[in-house]
Amino acid sequence: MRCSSSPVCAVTLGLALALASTAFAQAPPPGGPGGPPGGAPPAPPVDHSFDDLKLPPNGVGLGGIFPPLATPVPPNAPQPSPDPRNLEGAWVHTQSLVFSINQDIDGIRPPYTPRAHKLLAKRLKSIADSKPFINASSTCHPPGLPWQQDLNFPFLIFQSKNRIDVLYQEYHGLQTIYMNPADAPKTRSYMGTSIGHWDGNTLVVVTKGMKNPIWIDVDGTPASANAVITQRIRKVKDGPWSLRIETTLDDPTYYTHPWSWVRDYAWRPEDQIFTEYDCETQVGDKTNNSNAGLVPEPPDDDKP
Amino acid sequence: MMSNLQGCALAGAMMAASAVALSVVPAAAASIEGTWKISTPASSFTPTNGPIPFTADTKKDYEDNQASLVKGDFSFDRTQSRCSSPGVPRLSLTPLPFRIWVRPLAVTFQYEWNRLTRTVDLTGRKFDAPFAGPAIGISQGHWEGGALVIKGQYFSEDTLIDDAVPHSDSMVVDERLHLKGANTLEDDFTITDPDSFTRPWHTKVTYTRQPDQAFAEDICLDRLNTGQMPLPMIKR
Repeated sequence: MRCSSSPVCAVTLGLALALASTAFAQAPPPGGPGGPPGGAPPAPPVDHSFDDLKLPPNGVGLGGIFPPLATPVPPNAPQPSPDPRNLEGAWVHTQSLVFSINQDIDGIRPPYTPRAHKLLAKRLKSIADSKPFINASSTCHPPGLPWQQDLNFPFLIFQSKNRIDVLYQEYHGLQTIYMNPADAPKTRSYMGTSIGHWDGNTLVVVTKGMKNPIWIDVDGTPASANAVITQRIRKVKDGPWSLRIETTLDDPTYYTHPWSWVRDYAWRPEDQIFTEYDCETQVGDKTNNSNAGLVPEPPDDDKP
Repeated sequence: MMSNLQGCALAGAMMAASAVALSVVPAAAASIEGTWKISTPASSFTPTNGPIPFTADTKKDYEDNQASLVKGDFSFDRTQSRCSSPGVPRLSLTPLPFRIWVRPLAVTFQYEWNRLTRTVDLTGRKFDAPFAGPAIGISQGHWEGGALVIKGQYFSEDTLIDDAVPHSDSMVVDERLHLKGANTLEDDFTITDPDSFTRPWHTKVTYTRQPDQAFAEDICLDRLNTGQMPLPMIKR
């Protein structure tokens, strides 16, 4: 099941549970006439196939827990444009830093392929062994989506006629969303190429063409260089303003079918004044061990 | 579609964390929004009020840096040796285009060079000196007609003003960014740093308007790691 928003999902799930509960109540009782044999019903089968991964709870990674961002924007603060297609402004992830995206929008384990299972197990073990693998973040390169968005640093959206520029404070990242596909570059890049269109008041952005495989989170949940990342982005006024992004990852290399999750980003007008993010001074210093204790990851034979 | 100057609806007259008045963007200021590129590429600034008035210590550091440059030793320059941010004012010498976004709370400079940004705060809020200053310092500005007047301070002392001129963390950079025509932008700098210079000195950089187009994904470290210079070397 795919949902267009988490509240809708919650309602849908609630309805489904209510219907299931009703159906169960109307069935003949265990041990009764026409019913199943008495005694406790058999437990549903438990899927142990991922136990070896020792995945942390969703939203919490082996790296620890960051507190959620917090102070609400005062009611007299500048507000976003009332135009639902104007997404301009500064936005910041509302949740704790998500180290591990290991549940989809319905709370179900991502549909890992055996290859993803093996790779993720290797990465989690490297963290547990205190020998984490080198990744884009540690080499001061753009980490790609959605990692770039999920960090607790602000990003800024600027809209022009044929383009949307998203500037990220961390890694001084840049995502260009081309509203005219003819303008999009044909070469691969670290962030991939993003092409957007409006579906009503929802901005639909399809990103693909990454130069390298990416980690979609800090713990190393994988996506291949050929992954297709579709994001449905819209402004939501549910109390304070937020930007709701539903991400769908379509990547047959690592997942048996596309899967989705949702994040909310708070309107933070004061955060458009970025503070400097400088990783080059440390990483670019060839007189030090710029890998900072991280070790090279064995190849996964996933080059484009 | 919205006007670029209507990114924030001015529903409130206060900033989020502290009570500060929002800047009113003059209509003429909208004209500096756009994509620009340095008109005459350079690695160094040319003073407009006499030679750079070095103090004795700073002159020696400057001469040492020049000697290192001649030998091709860039270890004194974190931008050329590590891809660290050139900081202010050296960012204005980067050879790639940059974009200026004018909004009521801030003016954002988006550089194609290594995807850097610099924000000028227009809110008038108070800043305490940071424990360690960033390469870009902290920039606060206001509008005087169509000119953006910027005061930059609290800089890291680890950057250079250009390819060889050092400065201290006491440096203050005053700028006046204004149009000299529809497609020409000028940034007048006044550099004040009593720890490094005996008096304030002036310089300026001129930019030419560029067609609006997306920036390439520029990764300075990839250039550095393949033997290219982060910034081009242009003789004084």
